[in-house]
Amino acid sequence: MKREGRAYAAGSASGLALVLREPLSLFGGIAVETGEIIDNAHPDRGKTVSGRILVAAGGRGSSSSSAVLAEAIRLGTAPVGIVLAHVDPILVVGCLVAQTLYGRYVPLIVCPIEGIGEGDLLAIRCDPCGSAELEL
Amino acid sequence: MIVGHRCRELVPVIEGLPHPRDEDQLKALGAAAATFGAVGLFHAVGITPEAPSRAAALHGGTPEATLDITPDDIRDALGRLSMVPEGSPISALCLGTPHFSQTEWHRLAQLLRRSRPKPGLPIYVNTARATLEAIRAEGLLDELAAFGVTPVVDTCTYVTAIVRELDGAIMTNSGKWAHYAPGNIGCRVAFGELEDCIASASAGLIVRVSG
Repeated sequence: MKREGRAYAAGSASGLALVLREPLSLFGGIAVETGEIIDNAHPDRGKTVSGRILVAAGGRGSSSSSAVLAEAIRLGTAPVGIVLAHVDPILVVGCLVAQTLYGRYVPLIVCPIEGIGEGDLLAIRCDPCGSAELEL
Repeated sequence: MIVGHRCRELVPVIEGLPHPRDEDQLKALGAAAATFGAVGLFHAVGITPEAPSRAAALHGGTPEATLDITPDDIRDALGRLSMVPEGSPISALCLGTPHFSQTEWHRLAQLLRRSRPKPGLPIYVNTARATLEAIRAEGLLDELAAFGVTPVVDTCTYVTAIVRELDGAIMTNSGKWAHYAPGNIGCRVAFGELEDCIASASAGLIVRVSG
């Protein structure tokens, strides 16, 4: 099944969905060296975002999350792609900075997330022109 | 905390908020709402400049959703912000997240004069360097140093290796600090009003004096 969306950061990726039960601030929320969720109060604490397609309703919290995401992308501990129901400029900036500084592309698509289950295999294609597609 | 959790990235129009003592209370609300959600802007009816009325804040439109906040919600939020019960010993205070304003420094000084903190219990206060210079010029810094106050400039104590007293609980008046510190620096946190923080610093234990 294919779903149209809007591309906020270009690239393509495929991987297993990690569906966050509530939005997560990456600053204070993941250990950048490992990609593990460390926010004490988060229901998905202990899971690892590395190599997954991160699926969330939206963003949350500190604008320092942009830097955490860019650094995680550099280290290879970040999600390989991000799917949001509502755009979060903080996460978008993290993806764009990693593109510019490190030449690494983690696509970010905004589209409905209903029906995406934990562990589903997803593929994202985000064009630089803004069109995007999610396959599940 | 409640506003952030429930509103996510939407713009809330808050009705019924008690008139704030000063702008710093609105600053604290904004920081907590952006910590627990992605709230970049809020209106408080009768308080913030663009919300003389509910209709004005909504530009005559209808809200996407209306959410009630009950006393139970507030008790629940306070319980979730504090990891340690009343009466537990504390080893430090961390104030000033977001950075302390000059007004907040003055309130702190007044409270400390009334209720002296336990000797050796440090009080860390984040502030901007311009604000620090302003209170230094007033002669306030030396007086506060005698109460164990350590100003921390242009950063926050939950991101840096500044706080040494990580064994006991740390008390803060900031919802933002209470959220980020346990994950970032591995401490246990108690949350309370500034008056509660100072009374606790004096007792060496978590006590609540505010209503």
